[in-house]
Amino acid sequence: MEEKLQIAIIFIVTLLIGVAAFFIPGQIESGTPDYSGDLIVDSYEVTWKDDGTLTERYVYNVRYSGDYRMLYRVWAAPLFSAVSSKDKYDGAHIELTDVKLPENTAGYIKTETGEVYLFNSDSSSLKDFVSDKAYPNEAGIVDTGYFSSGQYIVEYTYNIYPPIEYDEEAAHISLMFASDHIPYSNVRIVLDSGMITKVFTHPPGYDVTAENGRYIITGSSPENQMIEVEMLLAPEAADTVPGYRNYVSGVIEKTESANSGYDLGFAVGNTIIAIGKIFALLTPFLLVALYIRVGREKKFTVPKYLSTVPDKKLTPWQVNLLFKGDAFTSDENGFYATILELHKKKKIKIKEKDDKKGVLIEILDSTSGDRYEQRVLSFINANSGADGILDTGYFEEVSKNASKSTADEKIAMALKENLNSLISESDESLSGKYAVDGRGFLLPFYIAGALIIIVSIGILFLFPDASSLLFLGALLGGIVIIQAIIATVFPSTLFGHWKDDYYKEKLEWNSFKNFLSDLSQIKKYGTEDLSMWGEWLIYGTALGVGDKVESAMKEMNVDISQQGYFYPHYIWFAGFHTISSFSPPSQGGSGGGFGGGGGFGGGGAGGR
Amino acid sequence: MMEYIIPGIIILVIIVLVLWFVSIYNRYFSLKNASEATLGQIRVAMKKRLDMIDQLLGSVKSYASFEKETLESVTKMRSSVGNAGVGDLNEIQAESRSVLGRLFAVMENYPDLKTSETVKDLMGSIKDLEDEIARHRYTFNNISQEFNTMLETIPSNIVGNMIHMKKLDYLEFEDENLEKAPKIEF
Repeated sequence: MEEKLQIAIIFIVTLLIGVAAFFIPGQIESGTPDYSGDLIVDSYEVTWKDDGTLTERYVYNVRYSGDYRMLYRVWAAPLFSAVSSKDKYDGAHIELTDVKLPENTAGYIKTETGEVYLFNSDSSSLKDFVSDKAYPNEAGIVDTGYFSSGQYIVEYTYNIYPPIEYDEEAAHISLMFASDHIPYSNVRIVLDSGMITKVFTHPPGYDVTAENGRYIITGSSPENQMIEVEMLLAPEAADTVPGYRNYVSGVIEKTESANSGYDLGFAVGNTIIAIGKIFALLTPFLLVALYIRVGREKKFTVPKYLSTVPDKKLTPWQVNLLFKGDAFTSDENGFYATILELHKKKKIKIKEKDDKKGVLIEILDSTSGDRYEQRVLSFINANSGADGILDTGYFEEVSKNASKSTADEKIAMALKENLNSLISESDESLSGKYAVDGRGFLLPFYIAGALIIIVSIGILFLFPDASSLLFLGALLGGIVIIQAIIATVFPSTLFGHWKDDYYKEKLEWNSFKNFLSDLSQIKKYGTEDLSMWGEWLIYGTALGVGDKVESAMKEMNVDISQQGYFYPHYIWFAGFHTISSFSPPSQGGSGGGFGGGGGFGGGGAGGR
Repeated sequence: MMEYIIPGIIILVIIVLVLWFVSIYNRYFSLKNASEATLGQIRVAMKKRLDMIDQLLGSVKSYASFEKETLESVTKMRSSVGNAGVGDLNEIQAESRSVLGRLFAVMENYPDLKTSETVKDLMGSIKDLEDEIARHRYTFNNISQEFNTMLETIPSNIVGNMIHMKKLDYLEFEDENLEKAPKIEF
């Protein structure tokens, strides 16, 4: 693949990821993401009055019939029924006074103490069902025959007794209406009291308007996002608003300080998200700029097909290392080509087995001036039998028996390790003579991504309330790293470069590979020069197209065995491949999750 | 909407056509230049080989006499190879290999010559140059083949004809004709 095509692919893929990263967190953050679930709340309206009454109106939307039997709201605070339990609890709590239900539907409440009361029904079996299924502190509607699709409007009225902090200057009440809940498409909170002096919403971002002594807060809330309001009121509210009073000096300062910290967390979170988005969006352009700056090669024209070995001075394993795939890593084809080359050099003798299930390799001369060839000869020698012959069938046999015998598994693993160390040969000095590894230039992208993640996680400990934003920040850092990984997957010379005019040689080897891969091209050449076909087979194997050359030779009845080359009739390297790809039985694992909240109330709507 | 889509498609098609034309045009000239550069490399290698042959003749001269025509032909080839065309190079190749053949035949009669370090070095250099020439010739012919194929196949031939491109010649050395070619081996 040409470098321009490679950089174009990187640019397009990383840009798509960058654009997605730019918009998706915004959607999650703004609360307008997925409201297409099976069960959502189309509208949640709540009104709190300073006489202690709280009215909640839920419009549940069940998308499919037959999925849900209970639509509820559960409180993360003690809930009681006003009729029977009002004197049983001494502390901040909520009393349900009334429920307005859809027609032909039963309502229920399961209190803090586990008592169940039904509305619009006196069925004992239904009571048992609710007792069994509902959480404590839960109110809702129930239909044991499952709800049909459609909207269900439920209105709950409570008397609430929240904690009230007060001093001589102000009173303070914090109400959390939801924390763990299904998505609320529309939220409307009315705080009806002329005593309110200041309102803080959690998370920030809700529209807050004050009119006629009321504060109206509107917005929406994705799944499990907290809905909370914090109020500062005139000091007399501590005497008139029902609740559990607690004297705390410096109420205003403490409230404002806590909220400025809270807002700072969100501001920091938003800043990190903005930085992450900018990085994610800029990365594709920076990668292209990096390529132009350090990776772009000189221009050379080479024919599309080249029918001659570009440089016979290079051994097949060197060709494989330098010109097949990445210039700094080799693959199994270098090893196979070296075996063929050693046969040509009469260092070994390869012979097909009579049963056509492998080859026999006999060492004729166990020394070579080439370091890699010497290693291959040593490997063959070490794995030869008592007769001094290596039988590739042995590798297949060991692999096969490894599933039954631990001893064979150990042998197979040892063989695999030895063979793979040969297959994944690298030679920094040789590769370094031809090319510069440019992957180091990608390090700043990894560092940038890691920094965003580290800063996000670090700040998470300071501002846990902004965890959702900081989590997104960390996610964006991860996206920058993913973009860098995509760039790293491509050859090291893409962001590096070929030294001197070696890029021309790289292009020539590519053209030679094109030639060997194209039967119509290779067939134009006659069968007179058999040495040429022998070279094509060896170098073609090094370039990973040995099978193509072999097919052409079979079609044209070229037999090079008389010229000293090994002429394979079938997949001769299968035995080596079996052991190099051997894998023992493996095991897996699993992970976990997290969440958070604050203020009096909490919980939220759901269904089961 | 349609009033924008159709002109948009037309403009897009025109842009694609222009880009395609430019890429084909550039490929023709890139190949043509590469062909000339490769031919230049062949000339240089052939001239070097003639220099080596000349030196080899000098070394052999003290052992055996050569026809005056042989020496003159080498000199003549050396002077003409610099600006030789494809056809001329074919002839020079045939002639220089013929001289080499005769030279080797003479050397066969003088075993001392074959063991001389100077002669061995010269023979090694000639062998390397033979390989280099062969490699360049293959490259040249591969370039010519791609160029000529483009000139004969649709749609690249449309551009080729528009810019008046002419087919490139092939180098047809006789070195594959092994019975005539000298075997350079020690």
